[in-house]
Amino acid sequence: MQLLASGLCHHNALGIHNGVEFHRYTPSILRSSSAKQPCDTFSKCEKGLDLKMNLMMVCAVALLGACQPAYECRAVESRTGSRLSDRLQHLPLPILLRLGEQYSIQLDNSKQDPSPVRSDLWSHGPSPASTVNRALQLTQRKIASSEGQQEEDSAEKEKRSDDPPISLDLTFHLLREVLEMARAEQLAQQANDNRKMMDIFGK
Amino acid sequence: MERAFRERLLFALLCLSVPRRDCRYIEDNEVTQDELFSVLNSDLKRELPDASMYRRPLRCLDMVALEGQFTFTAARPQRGCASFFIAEPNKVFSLFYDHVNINCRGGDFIKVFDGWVMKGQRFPSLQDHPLPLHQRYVDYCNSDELSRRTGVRSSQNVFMLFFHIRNAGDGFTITVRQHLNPFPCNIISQTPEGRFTMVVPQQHRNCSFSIIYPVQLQISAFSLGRSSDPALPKMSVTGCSDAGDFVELLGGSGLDTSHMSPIAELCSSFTGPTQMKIGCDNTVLRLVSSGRFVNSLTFSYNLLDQHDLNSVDGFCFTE
Repeated sequence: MQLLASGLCHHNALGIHNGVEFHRYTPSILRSSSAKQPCDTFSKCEKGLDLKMNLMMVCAVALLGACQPAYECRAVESRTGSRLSDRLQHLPLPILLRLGEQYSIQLDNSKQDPSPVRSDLWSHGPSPASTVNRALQLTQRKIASSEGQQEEDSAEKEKRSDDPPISLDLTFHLLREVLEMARAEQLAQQANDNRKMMDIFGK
Repeated sequence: MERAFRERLLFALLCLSVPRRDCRYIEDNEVTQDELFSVLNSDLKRELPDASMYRRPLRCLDMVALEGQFTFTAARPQRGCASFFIAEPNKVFSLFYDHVNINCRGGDFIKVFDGWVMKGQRFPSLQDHPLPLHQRYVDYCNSDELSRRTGVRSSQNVFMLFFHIRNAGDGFTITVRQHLNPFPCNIISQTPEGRFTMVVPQQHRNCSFSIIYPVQLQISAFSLGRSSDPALPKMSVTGCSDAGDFVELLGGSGLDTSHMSPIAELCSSFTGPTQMKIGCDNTVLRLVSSGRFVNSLTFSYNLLDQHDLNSVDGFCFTE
């Protein structure tokens, strides 16, 4: 039953049988007046109508359960993807300061680029004057010779091994901050997907 | 059917159909059920129109937990950009280049790293990753046309993208997909709370589960093969160094498990909770497997509260 319902849900989500298949599962209160006898939602009706109603309810519930995204239950926040994007672009100043300061501390001992580059950590356009502009650099670390020496079979592999592996200086605190923002974005997108799915079912 | 009974039946069916998870951050890695939904979801993703794919610009420093299409366009010379990608523990990534406009000869590059690297420390470590280090960095500029079209696939639920673009207006567009990994090995947790079961099916490999938060850890079950197997290792009072299959609990302030301090070891099957509080920046459970047994480790974790953190004397501690 679950597989079958899922298959039907699959089709509905594709919109292939959007009109025809789905009408089969609309509640009886929305049904047209073609029923032989006028019935309340749960009043006594003919046996055939009764059976159809039960089947409709079971199928509707099975569709609802089967087509739930396999995601954990979350307290979905009300912010939408677009609002999240705005939030990312206009983070409060203390957070930006904290992020920028923590990030730059890790670069103090690294090789500095003589031409300082503005950071666009949290904005797409030019950063406001009040926001923190920090140089964002990678530190290229030479890995110990024992780690870099590998037997090579081809010239391409040799070329790759000559390139120094790249690393990034970042604190765990900053890593957690960006991870939490990524999770918020993920939750917002899942909520958006769920809303679209319910809109499809509601048609 | 009576109206009241029908109402109760419908209510009961609706209650059964709501999501089964209990808490916001509990990670349920019931692979069997996820397998079912992931197959359906992957079919949906292949057939859904492009309009439904998630799209957004990629930032110079970014963290992405979604699949979709991401575009980076340099508004000015961008040196040293990095994007972290992280999925749920039972997923891996595949990356495809949709459009690339960079000047490789001028020094621009796009490199994919299979794992995460931070302050010179890599996850998974050299001992735990199936590939040698030089194969974990895939350089777009040094790849042939076939490799660029085929894309890159990660070995675990995390990977990184490094890029350096000198000319304003240059950039690239990538599509990132997630795929089910039935036997996840080497995982970084997305959340400070969760529950996970790591299974290593008779493979000679080491698998780590990394939690980049100070946590209270509860190991509820650890099994080595079948309990009736007479060859199962016994509890050793001298530690687990002689055992081919064991679990080690590590704590540290970096990503590399080979640079972390062992806190505890388990080399005998048991059931029943064992609880520990670990105040390190990174807590890792590492399952070392000889390949002789099917090893399974079940545990849960939650963030240490402020009271526990305040009692830390500025360093990792265990209780």
